Amino acid sequence: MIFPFDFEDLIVLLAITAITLLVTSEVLSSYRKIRFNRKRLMLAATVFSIFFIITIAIKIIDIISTI
Amino acid sequence: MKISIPFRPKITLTLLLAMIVMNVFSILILFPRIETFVHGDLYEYGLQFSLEWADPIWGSSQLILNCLRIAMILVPLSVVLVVVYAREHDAISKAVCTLLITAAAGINIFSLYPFYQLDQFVNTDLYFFGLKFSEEWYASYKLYSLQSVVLVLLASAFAVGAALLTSLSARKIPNLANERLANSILIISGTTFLTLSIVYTSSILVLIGLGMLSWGFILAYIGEKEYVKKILLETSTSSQIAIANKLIQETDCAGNAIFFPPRYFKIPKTYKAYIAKEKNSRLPTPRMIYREDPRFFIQFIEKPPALLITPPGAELVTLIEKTLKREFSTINLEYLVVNLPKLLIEDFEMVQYFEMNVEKEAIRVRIDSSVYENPNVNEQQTVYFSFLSPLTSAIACVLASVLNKPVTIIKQRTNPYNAVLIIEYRIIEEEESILT
Repeated sequence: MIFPFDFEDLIVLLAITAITLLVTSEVLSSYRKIRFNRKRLMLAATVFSIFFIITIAIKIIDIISTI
Repeated sequence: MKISIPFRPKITLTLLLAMIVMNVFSILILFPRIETFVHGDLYEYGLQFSLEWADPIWGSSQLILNCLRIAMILVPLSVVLVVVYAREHDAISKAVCTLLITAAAGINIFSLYPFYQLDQFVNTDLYFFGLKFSEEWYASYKLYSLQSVVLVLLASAFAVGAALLTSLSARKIPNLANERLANSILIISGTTFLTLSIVYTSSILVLIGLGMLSWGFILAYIGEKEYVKKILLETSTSSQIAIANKLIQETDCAGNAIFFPPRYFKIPKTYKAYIAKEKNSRLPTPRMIYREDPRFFIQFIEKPPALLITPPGAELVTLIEKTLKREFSTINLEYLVVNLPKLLIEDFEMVQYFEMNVEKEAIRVRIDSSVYENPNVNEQQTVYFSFLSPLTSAIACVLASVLNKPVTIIKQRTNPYNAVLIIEYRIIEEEESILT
């Protein structure tokens, strides 16, 4: 049984989620008609962005080490 | 004696979800494995094909799979009915829901009978068709069959639990919020897609599954339970403000409200507003106010005749100080100009925009779309207009505490079309003895 998910897929997923969360948190930061915890959304966006940057750094190191 | 327990839709839905996952696993992975094992691996151990044994085995495995499939159709229907019951609280949906879950559990348990028949065929009849016993195939077969039985039993137990929870539930049940429902659907769908992605080895299904799961968890994480509807907030605060205004009206106090800093009072962190009976009266000295007991909500002072009242935003001031994590005595006006907007917009989410400008004569504050209804100051240009919104009086108290000087509201302008409120606060120097 294979889990069909590689590192590149993870980078794509993290990138899409991080961008969506960052844009959503910025756009909705002062819009009060939708009820949610803005601080937590910002925190989630930051965490996803950090994970995305870490995966990019790993990929860059991987590319450099193979040259 | 009838047992009555509170209905817990979350637990019921979790049990049903667990049953779905287990049945999906049995249908897609375990039973096909047993079938492949009997119709493939056992030929290596001397088994000769014959319709005599193949027909009953196919029949039994088809019956098992059909039982599990019917249960799989009944469970999502029960999930829908659980949600309907959680929202509508009606007896019909409760009865149908209980019936469906019980039927699903019964059919699931019934699937063990054809499984027992299949097991009997493999362990006895197949030896007549050339099968030779070996520990090798028996161990693998035993493991698969044991896993299947345990999963079917567990799934049935979960269904029985869900049926009991629904049938014994009391009439008074909590409401299932839409946000929670969306999270649950996302998490359930995400898990299903991930399971299917493993079965079909599809990376697209993994991406969809992980995306749905992550969004389900994010929505659950950012969901806020502590929000109060604006109308409830206005209704609960308006009655207190109305009482204060009525009192001010009945005492015929005509002066403008002066917000004193806490140093005027015996008890620290006391926030009070002073309303003189007559206009152009003298501002009382700190010593005069210090004699008064600040524990009362409202006090009548005789010399000079005035009213000492706790403003509607007094508790809000304490909350602002607590959230800023700085004592008002240790901060200055510049700190307030920078940090108060962030606090009111992002932390308290009370306003959509907040701006504080320090001018020569006054401190001008602009508030956009406050959670409190803006006072209609154009109609009610009265002495007590500063008591119409808790936020405006709270800002006055904050300014008085930070500057350590009495503060008054000199002007309020509101635009009902774009919900903008502009307030001008003036700092009163204690040398100014005459109040306007």
